[in-house]
Amino acid sequence: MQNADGGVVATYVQISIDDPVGQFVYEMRKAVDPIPMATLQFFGLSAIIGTGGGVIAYAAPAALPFIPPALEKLSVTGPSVGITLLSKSQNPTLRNVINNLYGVAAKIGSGSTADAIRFERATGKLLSPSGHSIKGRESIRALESLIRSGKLNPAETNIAKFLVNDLKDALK
Amino acid sequence: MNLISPDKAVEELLKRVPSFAAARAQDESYISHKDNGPYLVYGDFARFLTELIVDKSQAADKAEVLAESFRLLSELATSSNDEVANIAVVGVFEVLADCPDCIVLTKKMLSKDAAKVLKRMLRGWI
Repeated sequence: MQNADGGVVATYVQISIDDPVGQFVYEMRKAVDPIPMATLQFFGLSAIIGTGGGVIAYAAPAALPFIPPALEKLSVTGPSVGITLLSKSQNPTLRNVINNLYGVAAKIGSGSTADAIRFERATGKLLSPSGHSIKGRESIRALESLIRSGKLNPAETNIAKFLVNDLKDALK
Repeated sequence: MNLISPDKAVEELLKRVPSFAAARAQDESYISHKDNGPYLVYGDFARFLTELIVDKSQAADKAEVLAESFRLLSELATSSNDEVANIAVVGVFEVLADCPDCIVLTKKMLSKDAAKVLKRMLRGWI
C-alpha cells in the first residue's frame, strides 16, 4: 500500500495487526461501558437521563483544570460523557451522531463539538482551520430529523434533544 | 494546487470512493443517508474508514480504497481554502483520533504536508 506521496506504507497484514495493544484498547472501549461509568464516578460526575429534561451533567471543577476560568459555559464533564450517552443509545444513527459529536481524544471541555464551539466563540481562537460551528449546525439538522423520524425510544429522544439543546446553546 | 471547493467536497468523495458512496446509500444508519451536509457525509466517511482499518478481513480492494481515501484527505487537508481543510480536520481527523490504529495508519498514509496538519490537530491545533 502506498501513501499519498507514493511511498510504501504497509501490507494488509501490517494494517490488521500493526498495533495489537491499540487494537485491544479500541475494541475494549467499544465493548465495555462500566469503565467509563466508573471514570465518571471517580471524577465526581453524575449524569441523569430524565424523561423530559434530557441529560444533566455535574462535574467537580477540578476535573479539567486546563479549561480557562473565563469559559464558564463550558460543560466540564469530562470525555466520558459521550461514552455514557452511547451506553444509553441503541439506535445506530443516534450512536453515530454521538460518536461524531464526542471525541475521547479531544482536549476541550467534555470533548464535544458543542464545547469546541463554546471555546471558539469565547476565546476567538479556532480549534481547526475554520472552526466547529458548521458541523454543529449540520448535526442539529440531523438530530432534529432523527427525532422527527419516530425511530427513537423515549430515552433516546431525550438524549437527541439534549444534544440539540447543547449545540443550540453553544451557537447562540 | 488544490481545485476542490467546499461545495464540491462531497461530490468529489462520492466519485473517488465509490464503495463509501454505495455503503452510505444502502445503510440508513449513516447520518448522511439523506443529507449531503459535508460534515455529516465526511463524519460518516470517518466511520467507514475506521471500520475498514480495524476490519481484519482482506477485501480485495481494501488497499486501493484506503489509498484513494487518504489521497483525497491529503488534498483536502492541505487546501489553501480553510473551509475545505476544515472538512478534513473536523469531519474526519477528529473522528479517527479516537481510534489508535486509525491514527497510526493515517499518519503513514497521508502526504507529508497533510500529516503535519493531522499532527497539529492532535496537539490541539492552537
